[in-house]
Amino acid sequence: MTILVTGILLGGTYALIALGLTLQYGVARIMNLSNGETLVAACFSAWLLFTTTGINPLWGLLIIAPLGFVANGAIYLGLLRPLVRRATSQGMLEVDSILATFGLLFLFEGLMHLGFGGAYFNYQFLAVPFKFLGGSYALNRITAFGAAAAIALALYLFLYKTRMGTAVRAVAVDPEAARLVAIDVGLIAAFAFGLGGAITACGGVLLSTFYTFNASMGAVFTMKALIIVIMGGVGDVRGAVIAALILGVMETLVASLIDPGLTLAATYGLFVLILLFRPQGLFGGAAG
Amino acid sequence: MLEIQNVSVRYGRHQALFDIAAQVERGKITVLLGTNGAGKSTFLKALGGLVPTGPGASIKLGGVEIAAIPAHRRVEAGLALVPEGRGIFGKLSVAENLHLGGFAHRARTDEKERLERVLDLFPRLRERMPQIARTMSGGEQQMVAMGRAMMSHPDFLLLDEPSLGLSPLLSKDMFKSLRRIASEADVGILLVEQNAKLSLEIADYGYLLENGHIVGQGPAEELRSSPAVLRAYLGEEVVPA
Repeated sequence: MTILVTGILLGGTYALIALGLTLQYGVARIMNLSNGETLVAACFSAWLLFTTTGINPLWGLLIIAPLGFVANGAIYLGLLRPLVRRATSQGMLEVDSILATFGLLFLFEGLMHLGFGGAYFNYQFLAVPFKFLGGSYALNRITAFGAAAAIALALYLFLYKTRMGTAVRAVAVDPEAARLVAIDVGLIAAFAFGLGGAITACGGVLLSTFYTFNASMGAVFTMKALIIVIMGGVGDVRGAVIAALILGVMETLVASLIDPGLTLAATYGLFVLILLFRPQGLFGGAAG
Repeated sequence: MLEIQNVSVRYGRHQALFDIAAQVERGKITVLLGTNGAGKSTFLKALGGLVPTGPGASIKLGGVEIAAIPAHRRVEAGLALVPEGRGIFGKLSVAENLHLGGFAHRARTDEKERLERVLDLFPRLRERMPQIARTMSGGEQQMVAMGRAMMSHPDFLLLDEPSLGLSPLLSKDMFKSLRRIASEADVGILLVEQNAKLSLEIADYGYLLENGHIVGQGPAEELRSSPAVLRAYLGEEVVPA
């Protein structure tokens, strides 16, 4: 029971990180391998805010999420849109954008190494036990889960209940048809890429409240997000949330019952199994 | 008035359209007839901004030049295209498709009234609002496509073979709806069709397209009895006396 709850609490934060990636890939058609760097930058930003000015990370979200939006929007407009423009096919764009964002990954990782070194960081925020369902959990994990759930719900309401959100989904479904209803596909793609960055940044801020982070863990989190996105079905918000909870529970299970060192191996094992047997996602019918 | 001049389209080394000139009037139905591969669909896509036109092309909508602006802004200018294959959002519901039809700023005022008119025109859609579009029949999907186009409050509606895949009875209904759209909403309709007989019955004016060239034009009633049209498009209707 404790394992299940801990896993679900972890999965809540994973869900946000993965939602950011799936928005970027589903709408802007960019498989952003540097997505994890946004997360790490958000961890460090939250740490800086907390340790230098004492700003509570939950308030920090209000500063860091807009920064994530602007930074990712700028990356899209400045670096990725030229690739989109010159691509003659979807396949060409995928190859180009994977290579470009792979390069960005190393660039950002190097910059953060330069700034913070390779050491592990953490800070004490709501690090008090909280009794819940017969178990005892860190209050910061519960708070992070609650905040993640609220942000995911807000994203869901935006995507499904507003016209702008529906337009974002329309671009994901059929960019050419979207142009026929007066949607500026380039603008929506940039917006969705920025929004995805903001959501991932929120995930990073929440993660930093209970997790020890360092400058080089971005790629690992990109992989986790990728696994969740593929497991949930690309572009599927509800699928991503459920897949994130599954991954969180599985990691916690492996870490507490077998060995914490095997967590990553289990994660990749799950990835291989999904690619072999359900490449269209656990809940997806036909692909695409 | 939609005034089209010098519209040429190339796909690589293959030229699909040669200096097309045509006019579409508001409140009227203009039909573009031609065999498969004549360039009809390409012509509509060029007008909608989905394929680039050659130099010197002019597309004037109510006197405003739109040949150089991207597809989404042509919708704002008053042009709505229902392309080959309908172009609806298959994974979204009927309601969402219609809602997105009203995404254009020009369509935001009176949106509710417009939705009511569309649902009066296609009552079937009213019962199917929550349904995912791609799970509907071909005829119903065509209604979604036309309804969505009407939601953008167009001055001109470009339709690529709306009767494709419909039963003869449904085709008749579809053409009747076009007449209503043209007269009640004062929309100019440019219709691409293979079904020459039915489309000439409801059209006001027609153009004949062959191998990327306009080879004939005239009022629909003249085309209906023109020997060239009878031979080329209504072949099955010519009964030896």
